[in-house]
Amino acid sequence: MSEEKSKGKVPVLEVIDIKRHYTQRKKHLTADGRVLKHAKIHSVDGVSFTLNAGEVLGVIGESGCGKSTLGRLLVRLEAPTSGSILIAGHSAEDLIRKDRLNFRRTTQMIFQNPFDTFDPRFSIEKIFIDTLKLHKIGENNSERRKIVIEKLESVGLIPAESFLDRFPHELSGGQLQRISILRSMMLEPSVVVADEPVSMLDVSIRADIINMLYNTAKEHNTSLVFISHDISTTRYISDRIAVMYLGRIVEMGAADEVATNPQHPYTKALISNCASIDPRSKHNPVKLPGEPPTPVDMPAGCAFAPRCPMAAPECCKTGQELRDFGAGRFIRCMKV
Amino acid sequence: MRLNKTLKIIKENTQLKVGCMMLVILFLAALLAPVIAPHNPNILSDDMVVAPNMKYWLGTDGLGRDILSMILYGARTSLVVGFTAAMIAGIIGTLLGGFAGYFGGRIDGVIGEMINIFMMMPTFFLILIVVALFGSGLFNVMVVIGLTTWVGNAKLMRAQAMSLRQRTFIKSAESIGESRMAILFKHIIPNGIFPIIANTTMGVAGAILTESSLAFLGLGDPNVISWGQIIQNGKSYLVDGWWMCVFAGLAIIFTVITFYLIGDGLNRVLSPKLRNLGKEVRG
Amino acid sequence: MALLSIRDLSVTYHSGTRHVKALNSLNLDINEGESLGIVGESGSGKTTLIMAILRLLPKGSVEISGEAFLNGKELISLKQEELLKMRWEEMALVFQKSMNALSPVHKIGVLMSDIYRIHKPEVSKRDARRRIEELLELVNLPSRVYDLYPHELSGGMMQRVSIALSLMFNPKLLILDEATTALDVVTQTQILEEIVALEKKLGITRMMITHDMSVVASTCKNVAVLYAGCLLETGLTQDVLVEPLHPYTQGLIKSFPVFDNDTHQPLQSIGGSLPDLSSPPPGCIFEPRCIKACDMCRESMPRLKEYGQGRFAACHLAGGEINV
Repeated sequence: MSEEKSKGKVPVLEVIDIKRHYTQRKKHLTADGRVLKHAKIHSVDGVSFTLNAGEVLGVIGESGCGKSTLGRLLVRLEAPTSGSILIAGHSAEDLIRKDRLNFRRTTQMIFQNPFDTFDPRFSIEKIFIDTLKLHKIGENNSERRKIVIEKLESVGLIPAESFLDRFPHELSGGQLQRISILRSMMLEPSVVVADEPVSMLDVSIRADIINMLYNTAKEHNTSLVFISHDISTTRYISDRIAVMYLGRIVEMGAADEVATNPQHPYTKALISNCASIDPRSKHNPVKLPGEPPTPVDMPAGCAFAPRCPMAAPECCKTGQELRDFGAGRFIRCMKV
Repeated sequence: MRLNKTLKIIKENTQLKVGCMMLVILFLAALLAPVIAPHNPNILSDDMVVAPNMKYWLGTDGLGRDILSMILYGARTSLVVGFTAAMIAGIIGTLLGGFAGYFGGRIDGVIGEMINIFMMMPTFFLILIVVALFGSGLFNVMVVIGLTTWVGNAKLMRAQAMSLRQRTFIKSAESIGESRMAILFKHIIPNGIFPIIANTTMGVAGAILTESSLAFLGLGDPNVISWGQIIQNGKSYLVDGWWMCVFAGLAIIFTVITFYLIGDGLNRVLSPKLRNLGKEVRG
Repeated sequence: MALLSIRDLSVTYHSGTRHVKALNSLNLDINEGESLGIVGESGSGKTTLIMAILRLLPKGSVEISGEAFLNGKELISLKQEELLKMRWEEMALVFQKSMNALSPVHKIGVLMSDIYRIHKPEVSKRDARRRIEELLELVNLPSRVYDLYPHELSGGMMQRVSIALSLMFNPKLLILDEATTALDVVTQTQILEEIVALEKKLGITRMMITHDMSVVASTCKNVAVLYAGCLLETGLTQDVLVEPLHPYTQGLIKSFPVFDNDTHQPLQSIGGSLPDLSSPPPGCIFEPRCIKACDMCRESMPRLKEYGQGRFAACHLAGGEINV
């Protein structure tokens, strides 16, 4: 497997048309007043992309666009309804069936809420040592302890010994998130999914966490999927950006390209609404009529058509394909 | 240090404090019964149906046995039955509830139906039938009480597991590679056990009452002294010898209150803490 | 003339032997018709400030000193009955998830008109409904919202309803506590724009608590930067955010990712973490995390000094010279 990786031909992660649908138990009331029974929620509805070793893919979108579900599918906290995920050319389905522990090692997740990422009853030392023991890293506990201390110090949690006896609730959010990243990275995964890793942290310490995540990923040549609603931060850390709307990717391309030259009307709206802290900057945010929709009872045509400022009658009739515009740029809009 | 903390918590909660003191009295009575009992409870003396006096503090029963000594020895039976039955119910309830709540799906469906069936069943009559069929040994009584009272624990644990499985640290344990079984025993059950501990403590009281009821109906173990039995024997002397039923009854009430106080106190002490764990930092 | 002026407001939480000074002699003024953004991270005391002015802090374990005048009336010592009246009619508050407080089994309209009729019992049901529909229209909601249940609304609609609710008795002061934080960017921008337009129309003074500087940058005239219970810098938004005087404000701005068109500036954090407020450092409260700290900073707490019109900062080193 490592040979294939070094050749660089097989992407580390290949996602082929994955879907995740849920069936809603209670009745659903649509915006125009109809009642749906057992409505299907198209949380992720046909997402495909590839990710090379060491690459950072940013996934942005509003809440409810399916970006978090996508993250959970990638690390197999949930199974997709259809479609497949290939890790270095092998189906994730087979990998997890054959060797679950090894699969868990290759894909790791950083969670949004660092305050709740660790069992509140365990000390930091136990959290680390249990993980290492589970994956048979290190010969004995004193050797594992040494590894942990070294790692902690490498990310500035000094003196490391003082952290080992502490419990999660005695640490700050930034420290906990660093420990969470460290623990995942210790397993040397090939793909890390970070789901809004800084959104619950104070602004003044976010940058450190983002930088640490970026640097450790580059250091280990780990691919990173960075899920966020914050466009500025995503652009800062990502090589490529995928914009999601209602369970689908509507635009994907190099981070700077997407950010400076957005093509899809939804991306344009998102970026024009992106806040600046400079009171002098005059931006004219594009207004989107209507409410952010829920992925229930999807429209027949383009999902964005009902709110799209550029929508033409034909947009509502036919679905849109994600079209290749060359140089890794994909856009799902017939008007472009 | 842990002990100090525990003592402090007990001191601050009146219910727990009173309950624990009463529990110590009960334990001492049970443990030291051979030392402090003024008479041998099994010896039939000639002083039958004697009202409380200086020799027999709580009087004697129809066969001339000393009531005080019988009550002291009866405490042993009650405590053994109460604890064993509650433990059985606690363990079964925790396991089944944990499985149902954490694994969900079909397992939850099957266990959920089991819970429903046991809830609908008239438990006491089931116990009566089992005891009538398999004999009324103390062991049978304990096991059958345990096997029929786990439902409440199972429902509590199921709810706990269902909310815990949404928490990030469970997802995190899954993604780090721990197996579902390991997560159930290492994270779900220890983090969700507190209400079950409180409930099991109350279950002790329930089991003691059930055992007394069985003995009162004449279905208790005839080879051991139990409070229910004293009352059953005393029932025919209710007019001439009120003390037999009254003092044994008071002993039952005392024990039941003890465990209710402790259970309720534990409930108050443990649950808010559980709710606040993880959140303390942000507050 | 200031609508709200806060004088030497201090709040201390007592728990056992620990005394946490959550607010340290705060002075603030908001003029009528203006808008003030209060920026602070967790533990800065921004929520404590709101709770203190609205008198929602628990009695007993909390010690409040100082004064807060709203329209000439002193709030901290006001009688309970008068306070209840003032809470809706002179000042109104919108929380981050205000609507969670509403009963899920009642329709929005019923909930709203109940509140209306508690304060104005003489109003008929029909008039109440008319007023509610008027309010819903004010915040750009269709009148069918009147007959919906809280769970049928999206997050953005919920916050709009909360804002409509807060405007019910034409308050002079509107306090928004992270009111748009949980919303999506597109919705957030839209609601913020609507609020700004509304306050011009209705002559409302707004105080906005947030951790997001961009919200302040786009909607507030003035800004106050809070850190660990102390006011570190205040002034016009266009001054403070463009040329911050205090190292903390400078650090905050540097740690905010800029969506610039070409440059990739590396993001910087402020090292360290919030001091333990039960035993604060003897000198400047920010000194342990400050990259510019000198001996004087470790010894004495700098006072708020004026730098130009309405521009204050609490730093020995601000303005390039050492101030005592």
